[in-house]
Formats: sequence, C-alpha cells, structure tokens
Amino acid sequence: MLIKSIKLKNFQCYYGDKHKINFTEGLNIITGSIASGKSKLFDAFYWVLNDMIFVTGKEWVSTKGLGISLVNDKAKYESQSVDDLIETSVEMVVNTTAGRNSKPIEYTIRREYLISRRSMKDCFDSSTWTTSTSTLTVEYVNQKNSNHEIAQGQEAKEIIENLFPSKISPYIWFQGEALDKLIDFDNKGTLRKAIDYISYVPLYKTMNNIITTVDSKISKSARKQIGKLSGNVKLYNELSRQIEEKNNSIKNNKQLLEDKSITLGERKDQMEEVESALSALAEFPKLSEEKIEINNDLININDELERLDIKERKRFSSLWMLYGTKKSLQTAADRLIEFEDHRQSLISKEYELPEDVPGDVYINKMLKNELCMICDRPAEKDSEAYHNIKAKLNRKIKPEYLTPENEQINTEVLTFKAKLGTLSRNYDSIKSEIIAHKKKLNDLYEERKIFKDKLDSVNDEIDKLYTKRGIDVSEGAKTHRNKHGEYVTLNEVVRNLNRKIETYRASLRDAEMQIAKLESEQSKIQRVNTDVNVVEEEIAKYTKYLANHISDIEEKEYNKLIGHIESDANINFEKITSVNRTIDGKIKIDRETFRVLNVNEEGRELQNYNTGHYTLMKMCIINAIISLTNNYKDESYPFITDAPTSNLDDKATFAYLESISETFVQSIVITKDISEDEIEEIKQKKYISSLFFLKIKNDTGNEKMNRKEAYSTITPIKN
Amino acid sequence: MSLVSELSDKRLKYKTIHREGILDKFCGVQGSQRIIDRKYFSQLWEGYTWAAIIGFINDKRIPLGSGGKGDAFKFSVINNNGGELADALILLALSKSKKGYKCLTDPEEVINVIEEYANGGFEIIQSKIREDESHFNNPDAFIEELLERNDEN
Repeated sequence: MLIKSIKLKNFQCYYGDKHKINFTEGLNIITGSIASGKSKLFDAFYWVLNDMIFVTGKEWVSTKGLGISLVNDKAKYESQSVDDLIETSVEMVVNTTAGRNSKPIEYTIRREYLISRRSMKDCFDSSTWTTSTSTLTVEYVNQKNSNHEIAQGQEAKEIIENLFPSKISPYIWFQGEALDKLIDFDNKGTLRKAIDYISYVPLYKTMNNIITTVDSKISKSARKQIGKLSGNVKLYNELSRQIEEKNNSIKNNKQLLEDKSITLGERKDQMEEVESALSALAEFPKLSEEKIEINNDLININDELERLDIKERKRFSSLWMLYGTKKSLQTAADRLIEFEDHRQSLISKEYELPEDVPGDVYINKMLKNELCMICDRPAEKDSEAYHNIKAKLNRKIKPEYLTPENEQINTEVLTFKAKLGTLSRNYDSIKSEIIAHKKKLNDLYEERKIFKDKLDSVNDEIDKLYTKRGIDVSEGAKTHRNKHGEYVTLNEVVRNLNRKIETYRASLRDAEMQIAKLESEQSKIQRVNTDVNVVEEEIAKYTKYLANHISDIEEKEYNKLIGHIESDANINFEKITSVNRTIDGKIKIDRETFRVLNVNEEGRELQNYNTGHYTLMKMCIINAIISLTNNYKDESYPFITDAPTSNLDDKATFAYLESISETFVQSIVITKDISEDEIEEIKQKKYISSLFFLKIKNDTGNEKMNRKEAYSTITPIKN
Repeated sequence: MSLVSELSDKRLKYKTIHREGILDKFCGVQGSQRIIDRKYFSQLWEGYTWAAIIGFINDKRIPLGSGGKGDAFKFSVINNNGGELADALILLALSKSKKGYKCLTDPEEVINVIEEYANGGFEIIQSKIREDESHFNNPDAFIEELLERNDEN
C-alpha cells in the first residue's frame, strides 16, 4: 500500500486549503525547525484515521477533547460575523497494491470538522463557537461493479481497519516521543500480539484447540465402544467414568491456569510500573543533587563574569577607550616638540645681543661715586653727565623666550611631555589587555553554555520522571509511601497467584498420572471378542499424536519468529551503529521476559548503552516487525514516523534513514534533525526520494507566535 | 596657574538631545546588562569622554551652535575620576587646535575643541543607534567598537 497524498485545510497551524503533499515510493522526508508544524502534520495523519491525536503530557486526546484548538487560529481570527462556519479537514489518498486476485484500489479517506460562530466575543475562546463531531468518509471505486462508493460511519471505519490493521498500526504510526507509550516492549503481550498478527501462530493455536477437543471426544467414544466388548463391563465403565472425571478436572484446571497466568502477567506489569516509579523516586535525589551542583557551578561562572565585567568597565573608563588615538597623540607630541624647537631658536638669538653692558650694578656704582668709570670724568649729582649715566639704568631687555606667555607654555609643555610619556607606555598594552579579556569572557560564556545545557538535560530528566513515569517528585515522601504500599500489596498478590498456579500445575500433573494409571487398569481388563476392531480407538491414537505435535509446532513457530525479528533487527542495528561505533553488541529479545537487551557475543548483557541506543534498538525491532509483516502477509505498509531520531547523533540519524529506505517500500519521516543549511546536501542523497520543508509564514521572530497571522507552509524541495 | 587648574572650573557643554539619546541610555548605575541589570558606564563623564574620543578618532568636529546647548559638567569631574583620560583629552585637543601649542595657555580653546569633537562623536554614536536601535544593548558591543577602530589613525 502507498500513501499518495495528504491535504490539509485549516488544520491546527495550517491555514487555508493550499497545503498538499504528494508522496512517492521510497523515503519521503519532511523537515523544518522547531515549531514549524511538523508534529501537527503527523497529527493530521493520525487524526484522519483515528479521530484523535497524541498530546504530550495528556496522551491520546479525541476531537471532542481538542475542540476549537483543532481549527487554525488565523481562520478563526478572520471570521467576521455570527454563524460563520469554519471547516477543518484532512484528506488522505492511499493506493492498495495489486494482489493475486485483486486490482489496486484508490481510497480517499477524509475527515471533516465544522465549527460555527455563536457570538462575536474573543475568537480564541471556546465558548464563542458551536462545535460538532467529526465526520469520516471513504471514497473508492468498487471492483465488482465499478460503482463509485462513498462509505461513512462504521463502514468507513471497517475499511480503515482493513487498510491499517490496529494490531500493526502502532508499529506503522510511530511518534518518537510517544515510543514508550505506544510500544511497551517490557510488556510480554506487546511482542506476542505483533507476532500473532504477522504469523501463523494463531492458526496453530486454533488447530491445537480443535484437535484437543476432537481427541477428547474420540477417546471418550473409543472407551465407550471398547467398554461394550469388555469382560468386566461394570469395572471398565467405572474406570471410564473416573478418567472422564479427571479429564474434566484437567480441562477446568487448564482454564483456571490460563486465567491465573493472565492475571499474573497483568499484576507483574503493574508491579514493574510501581518498581519503575520507585526507582524514579530513588533517581530523584541524585538528579536533584546534580542540579544543585550545576547551579553552583553556574553561580561560580557568573561570579567570575561579574568580576571580569567590573574590571572591564574600570579599564574601559580609565584607559581602553583611548584605543585608536595613537596618531592624534603623535600629532600632540609633534606640537609639543614644535614649541620646544621654537623656544630653542629664541634662546639661540639671545647670544647675539651683548648691548646691555655696563649692567645696572655697575651704573649704580657710578651714580653713587658721581663718577663715569668709562671715561673717568666726574658726574656730579643732578648734572647732565649724572642724568646721562642714570638713563642707562634698566636698559636690559628681557629675552623673548622668557616672556610670561612662553614661560607658561614651556611649563605646560614640560608637564604634558611627561604625561604623554606615561600615557604612551600604558597605551601600548591596551590591545593585548582587551584581547586577553575577550578570550576570558568567551571561555566563560562557552563554559556557561555547557553548564546551562547540562542543567536543561537534568531538568528534562526530572520532568521525565513526572511525565513518563507518572511520579510527582515534589511530593517525594508521600508518593514513595503510597508506591511502596502498592508494591507490598502487589507482591503479596503475585506470590498468591504463583502459589495457586503451582497448585493447578500439580493437580494437572496428578490428574494426568491418575488417568495413565486408570487407563493402564482398563487395558488389563480382557476383551470378550478380540477380533472386533474399534475404529475410534485407532483414530484416537492419531488425534493424540496430532494434539502433541501441533502444540510443539506452535511453540517452534513462535520461537522462530522471535529469532527472525532478532536477526532482521540486528542487520539494521549493525548497519546503523557501524557509522559511529558508539555501541557494540547485538540486540537480543529475552524469551522469558521479552525485554530488549544489548548483549555481547557470549549473550551476556552489556550495560553501557544510553537512552539513544535503547531507542535505536527498539526502532530496529519495529522495522523488523513491519518488514516481516510485509513478507508474511504479502502486503507492504507505509512507515510513518515523527521525530524518530531525536536521541541519535547526526551520523546514526542518516544511517537510520538509509536503513529505513531499504526496509520499506514507502516511508514518511518527519524530523527536525536536518537544519535549513543542510538541505542542499541532503537533497543529493540518493536514498531520499522526496524532501519537503516546513516553514512559518509571517513569523515576527518574537518569542510568542502571533496567532492571528502566523501559519505553517509546505515547500517541496525534491519531489 | 596651570592649564589643568584653570580647566577645572570650566564647564563642558553638550546638547540636551545627546543627554537623552545617548548619555542617559548608557550612563548611570540604575541601568541594564551582562549579569546584573546595569548600564555600561556608571557616570556621565565616562559616556561623554567616550563620545569625545570617538569624535577625535573620526576627526568629526561639529560646533554646538546656539540652540539646545542645555547641559554641562565641570572638567574637574573627568580630572578627578578619569585621571589619564583628562590629560589625554587635553593632548587630543592640542593635536586638533588651530592655535597649536598656544592653546596650552588658552583653556577656553581647549574646552571648545573638546566640546566640538564630543558633539561630533555623539553624532556618530547616534547614527549607529539610528541604524540599529539595539546596537549597544549588548555590553560586548563596546569592546567590539574598540576593536573595530584603526589603531594607526
């Protein structure tokens, strides 16, 4: 069978009716970043067939429970008046493959959901709308009369059950996050159901029941006939009655044994759940401690960042902000030198001016002595000569370089030359200081990111304890007490059931021994006429033989299939793990507990695998089951999965995708593991037949998406 | 009296729009970033000096004009807190002043040159913010701005 296309109208984040994907044979990949509408697309596949979707934290939610959240927000926002009708629909077209006696048939499966506006209040409020139930139709052309048929209701559901049998659909419809909820390999019944569906095992079981009943009837009839020929009819009949009684008791005990075994299985499952919850509670303190440690590390890193931050601001406002002023400072230095040169030239000029001789000291001496000491003539006070000499006083001109202005400039020049010297020395270290600081900052940012990621993953683990194992860790002690109480009770129930089962087994063994003894006594009674052949006696020999052997065949067929699943799963597992070699060993299904194990060559369980590896092992088993179903049933089912590889690294992801492309005629994988810039490279991979990219239109980039405008779009990259 | 002493009482003026558009945004202890929510500069003079240096480096001198010349602070604030930065501002003014070394005895000229280059620096910062409002929202942007400068200029 192939899925030809899917078409969405106003379904969740898909606005309008322009969203259609045409699928091809082989591997179809749908990718896009977070919140681009990938899971909503997976929901569309599931909703059209099952009228429900998987909501993380709430599990399966029906259309009724989803209400107007199924309908696109923009479509609701654009509604203008009361009584406006909005249609939400998903249409999927599938083609069955031609069988020996049948032609391929195309089925158009369509589910529609209508809401109508009741009032003009808030369009996102559910009370504003009248909702209805969804309607399902399946259209196809009847092969017998070539009529165009439209099936609805129960008839439509039966067609879907026929196309996607519910026993196998959990393996076909695979949501990464919901893997543990969908397929619980720890439950013994899970694999058994799958095997019952894909194999002839139930046929052998039916045959075994029939032959056992026939054997019991034939043996009874044989005994009756032989009794008639017996030499001691009374004794023979009495023994026959006792044998019959024992047979009835065996039948009853077998029924009781089966019932109790089923109950035991259920109680053991419950006990495992409680055990898992208890171990989750035990895990919590460890995770909590880890969280405290990471938080402390983050505090230390932030403290260090704070110290660096303070230092940076201090250095920035005392020196670093000068970075880049080298040339200007050089110009300033040149100007300081320019002044010094100028001053020097003034000083040199001073040497050429010896006119101030004689100086004032000598002149004052001449005035005091009233004598010109140059011409040695008298110069009496108040005489002309005296005045002439006096006029020579204070003749000295102050040199230009000693003018107050030049003196002041000189002082400043000397001051700033010294300051410039210090500044230049400090300036030289700015760049290396900034680079070293930046490196320290980046290292700390990097370290902080690592610790933040660690914290996220520990928080996720803690969250998982709650969501996946149903443990409210915040009420640890109380939950622990309750769970422990449940465990004690279940333990007692299981012990009692085991005791009862042992008693029934002992009674069965006892009854079988007694029957053998009674039959031996019967055989000792001589027949009156040995020539008469009792036909029923002859037949009974064969029915007994068949009953024993069919039971053996059933067991062998069952073990053979588990062996097949194991070896097919291992072929894929080896292929995928060979690309990164992060895990050794092989997949083994424990025949007793049905647990999926990772074992070494000697069959001993390895302990070093993580969640990613365990998920991969489970996925390989799923692939093997579907691939074997295709072989046994001569029917191929498309494999459709959302986020299957979120726990795997890139290499393993691509190896897994390649192995899927080899296993299934058609597979549709919705994944976020391919980023936008990898698309061109991925497009070239031969094993990918189609590639689609989901994007949000009108995304404002704000943390909160604008419900009124933004919606998902689908772009075919390779088709 | 030395130039530095004379400058101490002089006031560095700047346009009111730059107080609102830049200084209030980046300066002050009550603000935003890295770990604690705080502004990059703790005091106004730091932002002012930063702007002036950007003006000097980019040789952008814009007279303040008459209108909107609302705010001012004393040069001594830089001298008392910034130490070497005050000396550097005087030296940068010296490098650009048309009066050459004579400006060392002309405090008015030094103040005027610093003011006009600071005004030019403010314009450069403002245009960066106009291009991208969040340009200096990240504290790392201040270091990045330093490293983008040409050290040979």
